[in-house]
Amino acid sequence: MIADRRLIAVWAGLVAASFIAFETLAVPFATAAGVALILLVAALKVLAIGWEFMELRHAPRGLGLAFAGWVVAVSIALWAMLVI
Amino acid sequence: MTTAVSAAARPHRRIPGESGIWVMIAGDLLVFSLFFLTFAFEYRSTPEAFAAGQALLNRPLGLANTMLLLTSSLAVAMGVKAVGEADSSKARRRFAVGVACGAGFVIVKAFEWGAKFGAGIFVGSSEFFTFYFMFTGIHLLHVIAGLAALLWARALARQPENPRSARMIESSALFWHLVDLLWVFLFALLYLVKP
Repeated sequence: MIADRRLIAVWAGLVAASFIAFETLAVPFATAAGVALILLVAALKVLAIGWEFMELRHAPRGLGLAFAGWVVAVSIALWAMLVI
Repeated sequence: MTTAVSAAARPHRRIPGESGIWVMIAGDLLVFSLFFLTFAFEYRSTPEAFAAGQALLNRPLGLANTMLLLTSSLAVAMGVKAVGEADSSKARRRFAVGVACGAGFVIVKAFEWGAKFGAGIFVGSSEFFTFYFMFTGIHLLHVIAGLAALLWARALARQPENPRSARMIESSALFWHLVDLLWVFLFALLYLVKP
């Protein structure tokens, strides 16, 4: 039951983050910051899916670090390619 | 004594699912990384053309599909927990919700593509839409394969106490979560970013 509540809380956070990223479209601030914010929200969502839904928090550390490393590397590379 | 206590307090770590599924997940992540980076490179090369194509996408439908996949992933993760508790009927119910949300994603995507075809937009209409149809099409194939895996997991959940079944259920669930997380990046790149 506690595990279910934790998963539901993570899902609620993911839904809220999706709406926040969606709403940032209407915010007329610098595009580099806008791209960074959208990619940051996407990266955090992907990390949450990996950590909680894919149970990487219970996996050997190397597997979790490899996954987190992929998320961070792809997000930074995308931001650099889109903005710089 | 201290060592024994700290060892007991340390959570037991194990690889979720079968090891082979992680090889497949790693391969998929690398292939999609190349897709994402190629898209970003081309977007940066011709931002006006890409922004014009992006403006024709139905963003609320993209958001709706995000919600469907997130909800589906939640149901599947809770289904795996129910398998761990050897509660077959609860697990099967939860996997059914996961399948229903996944099927909803396919229906919304079909509607979205149908609207594009109706407006005369196809693969090759522009560089943006070539990427759009290619990426969402490859992702849709993953969704369909994932739905088949979830139906299989639901069938296996009749015997949740069988360790081999439990492992295969976990592997199917992991593939489904992979489908979900790939969509999170696709949604951000295709529908949201405006460099």
